[in-house]
Parts: sequence; C-alpha cells; structure tokens
Amino acid sequence: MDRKYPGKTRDRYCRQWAISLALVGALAAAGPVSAERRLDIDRLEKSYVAALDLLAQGQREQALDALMALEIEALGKVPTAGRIDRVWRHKLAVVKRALELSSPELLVPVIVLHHDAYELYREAQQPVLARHARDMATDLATYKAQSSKSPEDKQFAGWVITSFGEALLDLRTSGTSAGILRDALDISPRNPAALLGLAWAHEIHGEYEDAVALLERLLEIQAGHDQARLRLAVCKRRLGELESAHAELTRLLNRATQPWIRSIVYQELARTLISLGRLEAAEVIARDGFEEMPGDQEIAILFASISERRGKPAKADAVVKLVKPVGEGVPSARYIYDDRPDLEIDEVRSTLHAMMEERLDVLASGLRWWNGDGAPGEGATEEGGGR
Amino acid sequence: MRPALLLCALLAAAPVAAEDLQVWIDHPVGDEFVHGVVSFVVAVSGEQTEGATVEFAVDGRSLGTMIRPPFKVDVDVGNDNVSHEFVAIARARGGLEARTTVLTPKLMVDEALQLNLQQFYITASNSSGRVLDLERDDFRVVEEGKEQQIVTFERGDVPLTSVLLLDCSLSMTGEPLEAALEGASLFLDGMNELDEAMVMLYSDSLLRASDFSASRDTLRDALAGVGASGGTAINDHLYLALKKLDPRQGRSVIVLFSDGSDVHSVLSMSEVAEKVRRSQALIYWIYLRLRPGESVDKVPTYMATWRNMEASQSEFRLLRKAVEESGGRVQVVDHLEELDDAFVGIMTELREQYVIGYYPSNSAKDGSWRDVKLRVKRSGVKVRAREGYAAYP
Repeated sequence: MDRKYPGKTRDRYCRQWAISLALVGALAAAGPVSAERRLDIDRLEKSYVAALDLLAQGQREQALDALMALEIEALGKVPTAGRIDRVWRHKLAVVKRALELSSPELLVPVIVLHHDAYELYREAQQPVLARHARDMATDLATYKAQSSKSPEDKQFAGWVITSFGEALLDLRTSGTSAGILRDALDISPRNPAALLGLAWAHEIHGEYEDAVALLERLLEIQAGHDQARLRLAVCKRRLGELESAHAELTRLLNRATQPWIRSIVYQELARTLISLGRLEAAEVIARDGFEEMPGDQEIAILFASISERRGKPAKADAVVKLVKPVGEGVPSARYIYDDRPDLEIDEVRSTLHAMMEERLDVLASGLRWWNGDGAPGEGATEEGGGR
Repeated sequence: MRPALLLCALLAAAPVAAEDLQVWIDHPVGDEFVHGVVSFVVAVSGEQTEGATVEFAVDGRSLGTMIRPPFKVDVDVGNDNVSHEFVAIARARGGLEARTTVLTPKLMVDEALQLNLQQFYITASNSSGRVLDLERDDFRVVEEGKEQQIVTFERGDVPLTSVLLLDCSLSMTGEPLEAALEGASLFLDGMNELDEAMVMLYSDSLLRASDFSASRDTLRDALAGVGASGGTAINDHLYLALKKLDPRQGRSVIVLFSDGSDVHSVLSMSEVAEKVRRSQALIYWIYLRLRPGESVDKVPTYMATWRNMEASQSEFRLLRKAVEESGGRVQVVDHLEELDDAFVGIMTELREQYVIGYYPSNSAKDGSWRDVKLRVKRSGVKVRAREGYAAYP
C-alpha cells in the first residue's frame, strides 16, 4: 500500500521525534535564541497561553480567534519551513509546561482547538496554516495515544486524524487523504470511517485488491454496513471474482433499504450475470429492478439494453419510452456511489467537542502558572522554548 | 393519379358495361417501389375475354400487345429512383376496350425503409472543399469485396431527424454550456421545413428532453434556462438517443456535445458501439477539448470509482471509433468561440450529403458485420460514410 500513496514523510517522522524530545524535556536543545531573531518568542508564547486560557474558560470561539491571530502573525502568508518549525516548537513548549502541572488529558482540548482551526484555515483557503494546524493536532494526538497506549486514546487519535482525512477526501486530494487515513488506521485499526474512506481512495485509483482488504476489515467490525458490502461486491466483480460478487449482492438485495444502494445492487447483479454468461437471468434481475424502481434511469437503460441484446427491441422501445427527465439537482445512484462516501464525520466531530468540554478544567489546571494578565506566573521562570 | 380512379373514369366513358371486359394488373402493385427488371403481369376477365388481347405500356411507351394469356412481360425500368406508370389495355374482338393503370412510387428516404435496403450518407470532398456535383454513376459500392448495384441516389436536402445531445455536467459550468446552447440554437436555425429534432440535455441523469418537433421555437424553449450540474453519463444517453431514433424514418443524426469523459454510465461504450452498428444514425461529436493544442489522439485521463484511468481512456477511444464507424465525425473544439461554427458546419455538411441505397447481394441476416467501401470514380475526391453495417434481422 505504501507504494501507491505517500506515506509518512520524513519531516513527519522528524516532528514525531521532536515532539517526543520536547515532551521529555529535551526541547532545550532546539537551538539558541539568536537563530530566531525575527520571531518574537515571548509574544508568541504569551499569546498561545492566552488562547488556551480562553479555551479553558469555555470561550471556544474567542480561543480560536486568538489562536489564529497569533499563528497568522507569527507565520505570515508564506512562512518558511524553518519558521513553521520554530513556531511549532515554541507552542509545544507551552503545552509541555502545562503538562508538567496537570494530566495528559489536557491535550484533548488543545488538540480539538487545533483541529477546529484547521477547518477554519481551509475555509479561508490558507493551506500552509491549515497544514500547520493539522500537524499540530495530529502530532499531539499521536503522542498521547503512543504515550498511554490506552484504547481510548488510540480511538481518540484515530478520530482526530480521520476527521482530517475526511476533509481531504475528494478526487484531487485523495492521495493526501489516503496517507492521513492510513495514519489513522496505524493508531486505530478498527476505525470504520478511516477504513471506508481509504477503501474509496483505493477504488478511484483502480486498486481494487487493496479496497477489498479494507472493506473486509470493515465488515468484520460492522457486518451490517451496506455501503461497505456494496463496494466490496463491486470491487470483486472488477477483479473477476464473479461468484463471490454475486453472493454479496444477493445478500444485499435481501436487506439493503437505501434506494441508491438498491439501484446499484440491481445494476451490479445484472452486470455480474452478464459476465457469467447468464444474459437471461440478467434480464430478469434488470426487469425486477425496473419494476421496483421504474423512475430509475440507469436501471431502465440497462434493462432496455439487455432486452435488445436478447432480441426484444420492442420491449426495449417500450422501456425507453418510460425514461423521463429527472431535472437538475437529483443525483443518480451511480453518482452517489462515485462521490466521496459519507463517513458520518459530523457525529465524530461532535464527540470530539464533547470530550473537549469534559476536559476544560484539566486544561485550566495546567495553565495555573499563568496569572492571566499577560505575564507568566511563578511557574514560568524559564524563557520561551524551555530554555 | 390513383389506378382505381383512372379506371373508373375510363369505364364511365366506355360504350360497354364494365362486367363485359375487366382488366387489372397483378404486378407490380401500386405502393411498391420498383427498379431494374420488373415482371409486368396482367389478368383479364368478363364475358368478352375470349380472344381478347392486352397491350402493355410503361411510362407512356408501348411495349407491344400480347394476343393470348399469360399476359406477362418482363421490362427493365432502370435503376433511377423515380415513379413509374404501368398501363394495361385489354381489347375484345368486338372492339370493347378496358384499361387500368398502376403508379409505382419513388422511394422516399424519409419513408419507412424496406427491410433489406441499406442506405449510406456520404460526404464527398477534395482539396478545395466539399464536392457537390457527383452523379450516381460516379459512385461505387463494394460490400465484402462484391460490387453492389445502387438503386437509390439522392443529393442535397434530404429531410433529417436529429437529436441534439448536450452535456450539461458540472464541468460545463458557465461559458462552455452557454456557448454550447447558443451553438445548438444555431443548428436549429438551419433546420428545413421537413426536418425534425429533439433536444436531450444530460449529466449523470437525463435532465431535460423535448419531443421530436419541427418547431424551432419549441426546441429552443428546451434549451432555455438550464444550468450545469452533476456528473457525466455519455454512454447511457447516447444509447437513449439511438433508441429514440430507432422508430424514426429516414435520415437520422445525433449531434453530441461533450468533453468526452464518461464517468457514470451503466452501459459500457462497447455495448453502445454495438447499438451504433445496428443503427443507421450518423453521430457527430463536438468534442470540447479541455487542453487546447493537445493531439486528438491524446486521451483525457480521468479517475472515478466506476472507471479507473485505463478504463476511462478506453471508453474515450471506443466512443471516437463508434462515431467514425457511424459515418459521422469528431469535431474538436479548442476554444469556445469555435462552437458556433462547429454546430453550423455540421448542419451544412448534412445539407450537402449524398444518399445512396442498395440491396445487399448477401441478404442473410446473420448478425455479422459487413464491411462496405464507398468509392468515387472521380480522382481526388474522398468520401466519408458509415464503414459498414451489422446484418441483424
């Protein structure tokens, strides 16, 4: 799989390594102050603490505004990689200080704050800042999961990263999305949304075997996932596993309720039967689909085509006459199938926010060294960067 | 004039009651187009048939008189697509006379075609442009290596039925769709009185479809106010257009406007190509090339769950092949301002086509593909037409 999509990049590994060092106290070795002449470190750290403090007080929107203001000021429009790295390190230094005074659970609100900033940066079409926010949240979530090794932390990290992968899940960015979703699965292998999203990314690249492997994993977790079973059957048909595809589709025909899924099931069943050389049976299935969904153009056209191939042009004519325009804004079943799948990520994001709310007091506890008037409290005797 | 009316008129003037001597033509019959050697068969009846003679005449020219039955003569009426007048005059010994006439029709290409007649729509051109003065004898038709006899020949404004099949998917948003709709409207402006058209607008679904109509206003209404949305299902809608044309008589044409990337069709292009071979419709594809200047052989790449890049490229090539096999052509458009000329140019080309028909010497309906070569005897003239047909029952 790694050969088909970009995996963890070198800089990502570097950051993983660096975050670990930072959080065990080695960040002091990051470099002398003189190397950061143009970055006002005190201002950056104070602003970051202020943003986190707002969050700890339950002022999420103000916290987001403050975070984005400081990042935009610190990074500018076209920041260099070195600059981004320095900003990242000094923010981590603040988090490290908070962690020393509280529990790792304070990372949850910090992670969700950066997660939310990512969405806003994307909406504002600020890809560099968005990437920075994504990296910040991903790295902290990964650190938390790897440090505790608890299933809950792994699941949390999996959801955070999957949320980023979902945001990029379209044709143009499917490669990036796949890399992110694979990161999510590395941490949380049973994440259904990541499995489905990554399977879709493989499917549009014609990597049906990879898609099948992921979809089978998903169906082991959620046997009743109709969309996953449908995609599994479609991929199997393309791989020539016709009998297996036929079995999956028949199973779906007996249980699926969503109209677009039923439409594709009829279409794929008919196509599978054609591939098996059973044209007469294909005609029967297409007819059944047409009778169940007479307004479905795709089934009607397939039915007409099969009837014509079976030497029944008059029947084909009669079916074609019943094909009526659907008007604009009504996607066909095949369009819905092709479009990025609904990973039900809104529910995930709601869960993330709920987890954040539950841990704001932990965050407040971690920020108690901050006296709230713009200056570090007693606990902050070192200067920025943990020096 | 209808034979029965003519007979009545003549009998009304005859000095003897009709039942005394009656004559009719057994063959040819009045609604059948004839060409070549035709059996002219006459029968007489009545009280005064004893010793009656029958004079045969075709197109005002007497062929002679037969003095005894069977009253049958074979006559070569030629191979022109014209109507013929067959006249039989029976004369009794006593001077009693009865006459009847059969008018065979000219074969109209906008009428139902006879089952075996194969028609080809031909565009002829040389280095100077379109060639418009060719005659029947300038053409040769060779089917599977065998010379065929041309029985119908038309030139110029043969009525046509067209389907304007326009891609309104999201990739056509804005100026591309506006330009296409304007071009389509110009195509409709070029329709003649006997022409009919249908407008079909599609994306991943059929968005809008008019009925077949000769009214330009009605058809223009179908083009109005549509917006671009959704995916692209070329194959499905091309099949649908071919099916809509199936019951239509005479020359049929599909003008497809698309950027060529089928994404969502349930039918494969190979299935549609099979339908194209069964059809006599000409397909013209106005291909809006998204990357101007690229070779037309450079296939667009597109990925989707239904068709990966390789399959997408294959579909594109098959579409182009099907268009060329139909006798139409691919009109590549790199700039939107070329669209008007593209639509108008197709209509002009249709107005300048030759229509040739022949009865294949191999009449077997075995579903096999028959390769047909159309040649012009005049040097320097090239022709474009359907490359053959599938001999389906």
